[in-house]
Amino acid sequence: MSGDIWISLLIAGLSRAMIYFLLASGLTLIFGVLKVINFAHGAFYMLGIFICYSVVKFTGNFAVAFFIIPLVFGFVLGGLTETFLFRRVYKAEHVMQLLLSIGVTYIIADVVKIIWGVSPYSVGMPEVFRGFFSLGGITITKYNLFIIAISLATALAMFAVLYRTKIGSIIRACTYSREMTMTAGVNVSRVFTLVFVAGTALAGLASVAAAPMTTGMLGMDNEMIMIVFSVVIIGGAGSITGALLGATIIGVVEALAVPVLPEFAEVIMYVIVAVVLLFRPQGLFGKSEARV
Amino acid sequence: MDKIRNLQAGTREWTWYVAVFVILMIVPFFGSIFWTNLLTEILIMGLAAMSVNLLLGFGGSLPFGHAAFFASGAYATALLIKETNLPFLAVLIIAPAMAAVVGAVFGIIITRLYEFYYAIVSAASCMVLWTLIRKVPILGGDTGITGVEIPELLSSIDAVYIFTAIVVFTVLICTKILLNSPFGWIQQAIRENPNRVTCTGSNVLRHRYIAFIISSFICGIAGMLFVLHTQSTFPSYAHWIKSGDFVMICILGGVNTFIGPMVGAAALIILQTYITSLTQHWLLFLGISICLLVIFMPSGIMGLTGHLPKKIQSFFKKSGHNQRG
Repeated sequence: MSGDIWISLLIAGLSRAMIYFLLASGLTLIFGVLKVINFAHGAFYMLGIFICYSVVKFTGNFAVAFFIIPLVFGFVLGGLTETFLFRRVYKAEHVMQLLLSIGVTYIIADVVKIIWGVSPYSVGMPEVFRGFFSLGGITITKYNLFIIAISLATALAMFAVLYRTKIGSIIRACTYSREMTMTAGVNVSRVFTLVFVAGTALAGLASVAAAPMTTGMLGMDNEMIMIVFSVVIIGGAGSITGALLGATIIGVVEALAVPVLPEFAEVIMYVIVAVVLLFRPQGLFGKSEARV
Repeated sequence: MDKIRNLQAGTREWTWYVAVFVILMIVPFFGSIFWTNLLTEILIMGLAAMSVNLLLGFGGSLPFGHAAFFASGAYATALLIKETNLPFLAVLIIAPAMAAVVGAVFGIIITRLYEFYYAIVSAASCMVLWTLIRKVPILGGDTGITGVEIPELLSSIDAVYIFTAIVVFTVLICTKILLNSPFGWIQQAIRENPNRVTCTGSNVLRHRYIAFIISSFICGIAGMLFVLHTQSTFPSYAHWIKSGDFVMICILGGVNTFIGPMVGAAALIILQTYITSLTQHWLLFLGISICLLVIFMPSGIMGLTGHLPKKIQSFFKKSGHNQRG
């Protein structure tokens, strides 16, 4: 194959990678502050895609879905699950937290089944983003570029908030020591809710961004959460830079592996995870205390 | 004095096991196919959950990938019977051994990790197997392997049930002995504090690795028994959701006790059979139950024994020498 096709594949892979990044950054943000791994993050993603389908169907406008869903998602879904469920298990054993998030996964999966049924749905590509640019032999679909731009903007915004604002420094303080931050007069409980809302909003953003290029179906959540976990493991839990790097590695390798080894593209991802873990058990950007 | 009391409690516990075993042996004579099938399933799921509890309750790890070993045991049994002419007895030994081999490979990475990393990586490891099973043609692909022929002797529902009960009880007793050996005590010490165990001169990493392999072997036995029961295997056996079910069974029964997983399996499967006969939305029910369980009843069904009359409670107290302090 010629080099042009590889570059096109690379860009398609990058846009996939950006979806993974949006999801993984939410997961890793929640983990960094709350020290909870949310298995339900994949289910949030699936729910988002189905909601996006319905919103686009009723309003006929993708832009509405794009701006509304992440907000509603964060404040309603994230707010409710944090306040009523996760808040009660922060001090419980870790297995309880994991089990609780699996319970949420089941509930969401069944709710999706009740509302949308078992048939797959897809959101049509919005008119603005149809078509592609071509540079010589390289073809890039407009939507892929849009996703990459949006995600990089989100990443920049996250870094800006975390490292340049007061609330960012409070969040970072919480990742170091919950007790010390509390002593400094911060309402830690509210910070936790805020972080969970932000993480869930990112999942909502990921699902809206992914909706036009994926088909929403039951069971997609379980596969997506594994990819996102792999990203988090490679990058190191709690690190947003790590999530960006891990997502890029997984997305690009997956895209490039498809023409070579179509059947085993997923397995290659796990091989990368295994190799990273053998040499750096805490992930590329993780802190070593994450081990114990 | 304490020693004598412990011995007495021990004897009483063994009596209890023998009594349950005898009752289980009588069940087929009532002729209810429904209950025989249900009990077979309960025993198998209980065994699988117990292998998880060996690491979860007694080792303090978060094993979210035991579906891999369940599936390994199941697929090894199905393939060995279908594709080779090995005698049945050999299959019964090789199949769990294959699960142990898979455990030994995954364990190299998993047992080095702690906490959430352990959970995520073990969940990912069973998805590796899930992907492989669906893609490799000899493993049956998406449709799985059906129509596994088992020997004449075990072809009736009752025979499979009795065989399952005998195997499960043998494994239970062996595990009990193992947990009361120095190996078992180190396992529980690692749960409390790995660093201190290192200071006593034990090799924590090697210990965790061996415990992981033993646990995967037992889970392989459960997978093998399940193939004898259903005569088919499906890729969903290796899905991480299945591992989640095992953990859920442990928590439901009570992780701090030895027989908790068995109790949990009985409760979950009976409930599942009942609810699915009423409505399609078992998952919704299960999800809500998990949330309620985790928030309001974290010590599981066995934890409820604290509310029983003193007399009965003392039984559980004394037999619970391996309760979490």
